[in-house]
Amino acid sequence: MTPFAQEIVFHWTAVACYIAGVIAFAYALIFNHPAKLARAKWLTSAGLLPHTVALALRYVHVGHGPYMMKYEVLSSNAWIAILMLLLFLWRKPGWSALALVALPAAILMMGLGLFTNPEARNLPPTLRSIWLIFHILFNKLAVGAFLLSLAAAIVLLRKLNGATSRWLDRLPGVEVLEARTVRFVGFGFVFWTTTIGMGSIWANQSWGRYWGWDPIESWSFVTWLAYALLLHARLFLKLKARATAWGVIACFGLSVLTVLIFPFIFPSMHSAYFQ
Amino acid sequence: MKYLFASSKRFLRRPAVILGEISALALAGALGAVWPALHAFQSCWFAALAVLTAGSLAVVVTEQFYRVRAQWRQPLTPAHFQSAPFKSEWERPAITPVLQQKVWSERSIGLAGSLVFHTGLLCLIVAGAWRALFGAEAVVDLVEGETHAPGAVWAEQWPGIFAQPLRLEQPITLESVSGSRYAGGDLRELRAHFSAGEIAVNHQLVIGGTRLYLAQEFGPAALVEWNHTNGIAALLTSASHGSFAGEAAGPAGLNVFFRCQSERPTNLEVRAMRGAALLLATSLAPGETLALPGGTSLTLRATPMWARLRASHDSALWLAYFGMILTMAGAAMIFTLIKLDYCVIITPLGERERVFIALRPQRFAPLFVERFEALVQTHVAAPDTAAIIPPLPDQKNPESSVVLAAAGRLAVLAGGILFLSGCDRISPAQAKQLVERYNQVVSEAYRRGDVRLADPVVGPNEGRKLTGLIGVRLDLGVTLDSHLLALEITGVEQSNNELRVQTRERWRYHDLKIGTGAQVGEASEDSYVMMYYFTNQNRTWLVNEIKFAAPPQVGRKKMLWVTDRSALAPTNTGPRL
Repeated sequence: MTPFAQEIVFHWTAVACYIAGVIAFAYALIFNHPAKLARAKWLTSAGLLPHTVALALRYVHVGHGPYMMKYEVLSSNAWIAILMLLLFLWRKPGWSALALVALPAAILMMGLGLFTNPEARNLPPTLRSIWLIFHILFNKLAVGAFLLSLAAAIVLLRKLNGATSRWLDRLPGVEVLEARTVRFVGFGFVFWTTTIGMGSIWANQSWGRYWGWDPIESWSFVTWLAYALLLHARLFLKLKARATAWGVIACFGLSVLTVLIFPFIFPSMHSAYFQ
Repeated sequence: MKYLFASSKRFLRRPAVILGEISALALAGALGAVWPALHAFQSCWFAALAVLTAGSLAVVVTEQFYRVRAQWRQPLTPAHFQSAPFKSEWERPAITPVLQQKVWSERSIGLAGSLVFHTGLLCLIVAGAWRALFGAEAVVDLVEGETHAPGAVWAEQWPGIFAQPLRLEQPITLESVSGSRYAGGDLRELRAHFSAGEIAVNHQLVIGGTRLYLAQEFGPAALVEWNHTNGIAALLTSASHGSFAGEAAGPAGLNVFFRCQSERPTNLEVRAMRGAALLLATSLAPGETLALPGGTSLTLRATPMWARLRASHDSALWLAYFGMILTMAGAAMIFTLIKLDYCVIITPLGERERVFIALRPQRFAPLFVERFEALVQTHVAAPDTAAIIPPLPDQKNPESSVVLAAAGRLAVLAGGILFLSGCDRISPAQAKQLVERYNQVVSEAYRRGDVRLADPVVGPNEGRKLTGLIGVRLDLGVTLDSHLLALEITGVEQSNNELRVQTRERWRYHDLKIGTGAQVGEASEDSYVMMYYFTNQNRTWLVNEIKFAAPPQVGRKKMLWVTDRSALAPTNTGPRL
C-alpha cells in the first residue's frame, strides 16, 4: 500500500470514528443517557489516533507541516478543533451538548478537505521559516476557538428561543452560556491576534515589510476588527445575549470566508500557498 | 483652548465614536481588499481615519493608565464587596472567638490587560504612520559581478512622503547566486553572496540602517552586445517546465528572445524577430556572434546569474515589533488573567459566628460560580447557594422539534459551505478571457515558430496538434502572423473539470517567410464557429481540443501548401531547435 493510500485509509477511519462519536453524543444527550457520554468521548478520542497518524504520514510524505493545499490544511484544522473540544469537555463535562454542533462542523471541514486535490507540493523558500509554523499553528487554534464559540452561540440561541430538551437542560443557564461564548471568542481573538502578529514578523523577514495590505492580510484584519467590534459593542452597548450570539455567528462566517473562500477569489500572495 | 482639548477628549472617548472607528476601519479594509484599484489605504480619508483612531486610542490609554494606577494603589477593603456578584452569609457554631477578616486578590496583573493591548495598538499605528512618512523601499536586479554603489539608481523606489531616497551606506557587489532544488525540480532554497555578506530568502542583511532582502526572482542573464558596441543584460525569468526565458530589444525594431533549460546554461536558444516576422532561430553559446539580416550582429558575451534585491529602511520597525508584542500580550491578559477579589469575614456572635464570603471577578462573572461554590464549601458543609445560581429558562418546545431544527440549520450551514467551496462556475466573461488568452499565446507561438510558448495554455492533445502544425510551417520556411478581429462567446457549458466554450470568431492571417519577413501567398480574413474543450488541471484551464462547430468561411482561395513552392525557397532558418 502506498503512503498516500495509507493516509487515506487512516483519514477515513478517523472520519468513521468521529461520525460514530457524533451519533453516540446525540444518543446520550437526546435520549438522556448521561452514562453513555463517556463512550461518546472515547469514540471521538479514538478518531484522533488515526487522524494523527494520517497527518504524521502526510508530514513524512511531503516533508513539511500542513501549511499548503486545502487537503492538509482543513484536515489539520479539524484535528485541532476536535482536540480543543475534547480538552474542554474533559474540563467541563456538563457542556457535552457543544459536541453536537462543533463535531459535525469539524467533520464537514475534514470531509471538504478530503475531496480536494491531495497532490503534494514542495514548500517554496519563502515558506521555510519558523514564523510560518507559529503563524499557522495560531491560525488553527483560532479556528478551533471560533468553532467552539459558534457551537456555544447556537446552543445559546436555542435556549433563548425557549427550546427545551434534556440535553439543553443539562447545560448551564443563559448567563453562563453567554459568558462562555464570549470567552471562546476572546480566546479566538487572542489566537487570531497572534496569527496576524506572527505573520507580520514573517512577512517582514521574507518581503521586507510587516504589512502590505495584501487582500488576505486585509481580510484577516477585517475579521479581527469584526470580532473587536463585537467585543466592544457588548461592553459599551450592553448587548443582550441574543445579539451577542448572532454577532458571534456572523463573525464566524466572516472568519470562514477569510480562511477558506477569499484566498480563491482575490488574487493574493497567500492564494498560491493554499490551493 | 482647554475647553477645546477637553471636548475633543470627550468626543474621542465616546463609545459611539470608538465603535464607528472600528466599523469604518473594517469597511475600509474590505473595500481595499475587494477593489485594490481604489487605493483605499493610500487615500486621505483612510489617513484621517487612522489619525482619529490613534486619537481615541491615546485618550483611552491615558484614561486606563490612571485608572489602573488608582486601582493598583487602592487597598482592598470589605466595602468593595457591596456590589460583588457572588455573596453568601450564614451563621454556624463558633470555631474562633476573634474577628477574622481576610480580603485578597488573585491575578491582579490582569487589570493591565486592556491598557497593554491598547498601548500596543497605538504603537502599531504610530510605527505604521512613521513608516509611511519616513520609510523607504527599493528594488534592483543585480547580475553576478555587478556592484550597486551608494549613489546608484534603483530599478524602482517607494520612499515615504517625507523620506529621502534610499541610499546604501557602502557599495555591495553580487558575487554569486546559488539555489538548491527538491528532487522534483522545485526551488528549495536561494542564496546570494555579496561582498558585504550573504543573503538568503528569509535571511536579511543589514547595512547601516538599511535591510536587504532576497526575493525569489532570479535566473540566468544573457549579456549581449549589438554590433560589438552596445552591451545589455537580458534577464531570463522562470518560465514553464523549469525553463528560463527573456528578451532583449535591439536596433531597428529587432527583438531577440532567449530561452534555456538550466540556471547555468552552456548555450541559449535564440529567436530573432522584427515585428511579426521571424528572422532566425538558432542556438548560441557565450562568445559566439550571430549575424542578423540587415547587417546587424549579436554577440553573447556571458550568461551569469542575476537576482532581485529588495531594500527597506524603516527606523520605526522596533516600535512596530514592540507594539505587536504588547498587543498580543495585552489580548492574552484580558481573556486569561481575570482579576479575582476575595473576601472572607468571620464575626463572633457568642456561641455562634457569622460567616460572610464574597467573590468579585473583574469580568465574565457567571463563569466563576463553581469557584465561589468551592470557596463556600471550604467554610460550610452545605451552603445554600440557590440564590446565586440563575434559574433555568421555561421549557416549551418538544425535544424532537429542537433536534430537527438543529439538524436543519446544520444542513443549511453544510450546504452553504459546500456551495461556496464549489463556486468555481465559469461565467461567459471569464470564458472569453480564457479563449482570448489562449489565442494570444498560440498566435505568438505561431509567430515565433516556437510551440513551447503554448505550454501554459494547452493540454497534451492540443499540444501535439500544435507541434505538428507549427512544425509543418517551419519546414515550409514560413511563420503565421494572425490577428483576432472579433470574438463572441455563444455558449458556455461546464461539468466537473471540463469546460466547453463555443465562439464566433473573425481572424486575419498571413504567412511570413522566415529570414526576410516577406509575405508569402495571399492574406486571408476568415470567420469560424469554434468549440473549445478546456480541462481543469491543477486549477488551471487548459485547452485540450479545438473543433470547428460549423464549416469555416475562409477568405483566401489558394492554400499555402498548394502555392508556388519557389516563393518559399531559399530560406535559412538556422539550426532547428
